[in-house]
Amino acid sequence: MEKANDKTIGDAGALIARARDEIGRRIVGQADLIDALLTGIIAGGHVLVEGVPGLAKTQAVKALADVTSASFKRIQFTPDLLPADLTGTMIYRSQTGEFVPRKGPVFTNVLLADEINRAPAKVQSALLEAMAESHVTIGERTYPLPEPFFVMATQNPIEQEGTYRLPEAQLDRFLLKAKVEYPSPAEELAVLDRMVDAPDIPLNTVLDKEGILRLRKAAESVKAEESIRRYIVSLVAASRVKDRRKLPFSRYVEYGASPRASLALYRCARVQALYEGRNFVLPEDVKSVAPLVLRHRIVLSYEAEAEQLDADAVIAGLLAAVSVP
Amino acid sequence: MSGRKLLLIGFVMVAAFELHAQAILDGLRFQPPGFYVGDEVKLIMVFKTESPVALNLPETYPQSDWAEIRDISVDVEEDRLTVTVDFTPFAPGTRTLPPLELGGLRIDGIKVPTHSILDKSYEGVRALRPQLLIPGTRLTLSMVLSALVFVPIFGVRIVRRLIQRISRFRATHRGGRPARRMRRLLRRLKSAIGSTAPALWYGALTDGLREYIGKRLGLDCRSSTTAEISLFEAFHGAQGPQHQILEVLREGDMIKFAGRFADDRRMQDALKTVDSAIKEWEKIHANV
Repeated sequence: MEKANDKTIGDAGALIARARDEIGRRIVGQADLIDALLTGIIAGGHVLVEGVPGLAKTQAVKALADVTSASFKRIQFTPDLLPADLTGTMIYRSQTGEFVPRKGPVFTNVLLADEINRAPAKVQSALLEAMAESHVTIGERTYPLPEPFFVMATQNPIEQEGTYRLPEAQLDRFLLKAKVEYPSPAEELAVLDRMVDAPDIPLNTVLDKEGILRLRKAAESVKAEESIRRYIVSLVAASRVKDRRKLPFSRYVEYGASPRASLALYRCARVQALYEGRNFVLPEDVKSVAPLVLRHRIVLSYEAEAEQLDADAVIAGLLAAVSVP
Repeated sequence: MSGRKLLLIGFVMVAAFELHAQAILDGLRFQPPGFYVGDEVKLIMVFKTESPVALNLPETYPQSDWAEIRDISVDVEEDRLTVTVDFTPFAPGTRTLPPLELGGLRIDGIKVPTHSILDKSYEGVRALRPQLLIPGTRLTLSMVLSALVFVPIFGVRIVRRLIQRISRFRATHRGGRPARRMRRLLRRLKSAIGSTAPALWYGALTDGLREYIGKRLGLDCRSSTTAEISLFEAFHGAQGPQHQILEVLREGDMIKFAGRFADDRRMQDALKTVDSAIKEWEKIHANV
């Protein structure tokens, strides 16, 4: 039994490594972004990506869709977008004289919601509801979304004019929030070389739907001892502590993370262990995914903004304050 | 009687005594023979008389600035006459007794040698002297003054040295505190082998190790994972005690989180490894 599990973990690790390598053929650097996307798809959650334009966010998602042989659709969120443009609507067919459903682009395996904060709240809400429920109601009928269903939403941290900031309750629906940073000069040079030689590198499919489901099962088989579960809960609970004497960083937190964050940390830590080829979770797995999981779930206080602290700095304080098991 | 006193008496005898013709000074003595200023003295003079002398004691005794005559008495025998003068001299040196008029007998020119415990002879009434100090006062005062000057100086030095020694002692004591605490934990864990679940046992051991490492490196390692500790400069590529500690932390992780089995012997070995690693680290720490 133990050996069989080890084999599953080993196979999963090899599969992930192949997917990473394949995506890496097209995307230079951005290893954290690729890992975050893979974590999202394996943990069965959705990923919000924040980064300035031109950092290969869309390319990365396309590459992920290419290596997974999953259906991929992209929606450019704009202020005039309607919920029906996303989920679908009932259309009248004159030949038969009846209303028939027309499914929207949300019916896909991998969905790129580009610049999600440019659409009004009702569109965001429709998408986020689909993300949470995994089904969409058109007319009087409810249609399940295909499995796996993975949404990667992007948003631009600059140019806030004419945007609709995602509410905290909606942000909580995203399993992870990845931040895309500028590449190093060496990486940028490699991008230039690669784009000149072959602007559109074809990728091999290494992850089919069954493969994704196998990875999910492998992640579920990763063991997290009670002490690790307690550690996860302690971290999330510490984000809600209001006693400044106990936890000095708490003055920077207006609202802490929800219990959904504990679940997300638990799931992501198991995937992280899978990346390392382990069938058990270590505290470092939890710590490594904590910024991804918590940064969009913590509402910073005025004091944090006044001191120009971002969520990552507060999470660093949180991780330093809670003892590891 | 000393020769000096006899000479004085002789001098007094030979000195000019002017007596009436009827009485001749036959003998003279002082009682006590040698006396000092302030002593009560008797002057006994014996006269030979050829015919009876009419004596009359004065109502008031003669005054003198150097002696007080308190009493004069006369004892008459057949051919002798003994005159006794009680007086107290106030001045040293040889002075002449004031003339005594005793009716038919006049005594004059009697020299009185008064000794003095002081070397100087009488120089008149001296002015008031300043108050005398009790013997030993000067010594006491000088000692007190010395104490006032030197005690603060030496006191400050002594206190400073004392503080330095205490600080050194405290530093040494504090410096060894993490190791002592760790050894206490090791003793507790030794007695808990067999009665505590391995995961809990290793949990306590690794918590103690994190605290020890934190104290030694001046960091808070309670929230540091084994992987993070291995990245510390002190642990980077280390082969010494840090390496041994790291191995125990990794072993602890496997038992706590991977569900690996640990028997009593393995736990004993872990304790020995930690104990020796701490001894070695303490030596290195003491030399730094």
